[in-house]
Amino acid sequence: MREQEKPFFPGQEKGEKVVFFTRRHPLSFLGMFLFAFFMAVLPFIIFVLISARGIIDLDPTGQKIMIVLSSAYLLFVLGFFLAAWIDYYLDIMIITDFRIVDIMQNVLFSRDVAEANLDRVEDVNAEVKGFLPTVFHYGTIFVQTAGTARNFEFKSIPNPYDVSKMIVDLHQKCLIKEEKGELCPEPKLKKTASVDFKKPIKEPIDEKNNNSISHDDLEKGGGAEF
Amino acid sequence: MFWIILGYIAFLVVFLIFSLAAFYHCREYGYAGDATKSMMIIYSLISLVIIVGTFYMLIIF
Repeated sequence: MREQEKPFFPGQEKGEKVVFFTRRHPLSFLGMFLFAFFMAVLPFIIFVLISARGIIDLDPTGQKIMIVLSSAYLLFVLGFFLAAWIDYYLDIMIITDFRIVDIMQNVLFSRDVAEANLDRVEDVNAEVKGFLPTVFHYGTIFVQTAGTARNFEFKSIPNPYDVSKMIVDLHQKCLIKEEKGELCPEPKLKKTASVDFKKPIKEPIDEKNNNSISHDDLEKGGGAEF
Repeated sequence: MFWIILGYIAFLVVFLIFSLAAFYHCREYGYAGDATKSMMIIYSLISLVIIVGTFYMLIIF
C-alpha cells in the first residue's frame, strides 16, 4: 500500500476528509515536565550540598554504588517522562467531514477510541477556566450526543471557542446533506453488521402486528389493537 | 560490587523492555511528521549517554 493511501487514523473511511486534527495544548504538559525535571535534579542538588559540607565521605566502593544508583534513578525518571509524554502526545481529537473521533491514550497499553457522527451532536460547550488557559487560549470542549452514543470531553484544546463553532457548523452541514438524501456513513469501529447506507431502509411490514391505525379502523371507530 | 553490577544489568533489561514498549506505541500510534520520531531519538541518546557514562565512571573509579 502506498503511503498516500494509508488512512490518517484507524477506521477512516474511503473519501472521508479530516477537517481538524489537534492535540492537547503543550502547556497542559508543563506541570508533568517540571515535575520530571524536579525529580531528576533534586537528589543531585542535595548530594552536592551534603558533599560540599563534608557530611558524607564515601570510599571507592561507596562511590561506585552511588554511581549505579544515580544512573538507575535517572533512567527511571527518563522512563517516567517518556510514559507521561506518550500519555499527553497521543491524546488526539479528530474531526472529519462527518464524525468526531476522540483517541485517548492512558499511559501505555491502554487506549480508548470513541467516535460519533456529526448528525448525532446535540450540544457543544467550550469552557476556558484558570489563568494559563485564559492567557494562552485553551480549554475544554464538551460534546453532547443524542441517544446512546457517548458524550465527549476534550481537555486542553487550543482555541476551544473556534473549535466548538466549527463542530456546530459541520453538524449543520451534515444535517443539510441528510436532507438532500446524502446520508453520513455510520462509524465503522463500532459497526457490527454491514449495511448499505445509500439504500433507504425499508423494513417488511407485518400486516398482523402492525400497530398503525388504518383507514378501516378509523371508519369502524375502534382503532388498532395494541 | 558484583551483585550491584548484576542488579544494574537486570534493571537495564527491564528498562529496555519498557523502552521498546514505549517505542512501539510511538511507532504504531504516531502520525507522519509528528514529534514521536524526534522523541524516540532524544530518549535513546540520553539513555545511551547515561548508561555509557555509568560504565565509564565505574571503570575509572
